[in-house]
Amino acid sequence: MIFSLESAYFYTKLFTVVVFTIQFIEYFNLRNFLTEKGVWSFKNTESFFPLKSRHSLKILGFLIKYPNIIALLSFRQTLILFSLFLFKPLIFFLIIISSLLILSRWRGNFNGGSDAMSLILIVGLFFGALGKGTSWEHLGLIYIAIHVCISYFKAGWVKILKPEWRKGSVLNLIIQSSPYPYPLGFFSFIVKPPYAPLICVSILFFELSFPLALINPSLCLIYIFFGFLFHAMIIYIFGLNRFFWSWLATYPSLFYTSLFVSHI
Amino acid sequence: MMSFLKVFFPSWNFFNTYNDLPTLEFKIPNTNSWQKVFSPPQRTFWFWFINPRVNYLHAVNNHLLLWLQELQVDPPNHGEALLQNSHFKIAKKMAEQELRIKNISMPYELRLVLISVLDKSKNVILEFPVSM
Repeated sequence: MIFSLESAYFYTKLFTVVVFTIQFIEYFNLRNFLTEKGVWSFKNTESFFPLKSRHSLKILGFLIKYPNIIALLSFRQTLILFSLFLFKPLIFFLIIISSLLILSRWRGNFNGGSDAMSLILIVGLFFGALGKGTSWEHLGLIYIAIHVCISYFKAGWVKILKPEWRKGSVLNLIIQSSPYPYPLGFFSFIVKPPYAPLICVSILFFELSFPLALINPSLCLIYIFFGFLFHAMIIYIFGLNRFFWSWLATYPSLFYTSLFVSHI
Repeated sequence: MMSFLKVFFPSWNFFNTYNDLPTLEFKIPNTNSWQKVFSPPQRTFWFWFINPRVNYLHAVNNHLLLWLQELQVDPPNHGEALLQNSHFKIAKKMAEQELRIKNISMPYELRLVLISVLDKSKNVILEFPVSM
């Protein structure tokens, strides 16, 4: 194969390191919000935890209260960096556990979708490390590729059921939820006819047909190209940088899986 | 714990439809104009890589949406219930922190409004004073 299993894992790991490093820097930058005087103090958020026992809540509090949360973030970041050189299941298992703890701190308020995809990347790498040296070795990459296809397809399926997406009238309304100033400046034309309906239909077609990327490597590269543009546009409009990097990190797995499928 | 594990089985529903915009606004006493607590940020080159401010603003928006959902199901029936509500405490803290950065000192009034994306009309959900 032109893109070997080792290369696919290497690039997936490399982009995953980028994804988690971005998260680390951003969380570190926002650490004041996590102190007991900050917005997300543990005192203010502990009622959200569905833990019945006071003892469990105390243990959880110890792990995710400030400043221990910073130690936990640093621990995860160290493991992520190690994972580039040590492809061991234990490393990825510990990253999964620490990620779940970190996510609980924000109650999922922080970029739910990109966090979910980051976890899927780590779970895929965990499967890959578990199967290393066996015939199941490529399972981790296939797991990631299937999830990325589901993510686009499901997003498209929910949209096509909405008349405002089919008519193209939704774009102007959704863009207003961006934290950035509205209107969009140079790109303002995209919310007006005939561009808005055209963009909506293109997004629906791209998302719903995305699983086709799995059946042919050339087609896969085309989808990766448009995926890149799609996420770049989302970053520009909504500033969702983590989405861009999380989905980008899945593309090596996607391409490898399309090569694998085409060889069956 | 089960709800916590949902993160492994995401719904992947992105931008499926539009929502009215939950917004925190503040007003200095004896003035008439309500202003947004959070001002829109500017795009920079670095926002492609590191964008904590905008990610925080998305988190604020998610929090306000969750609070609105809760208020629709279980509105506070007296002032004390509101003061003890975790969503309220976080939203109040968000506003305090932001307004401190803008050098706006207490006392001021805060309100949670829902702004229609269709006609920009405002629906006031809650209004409360903030003092020392």
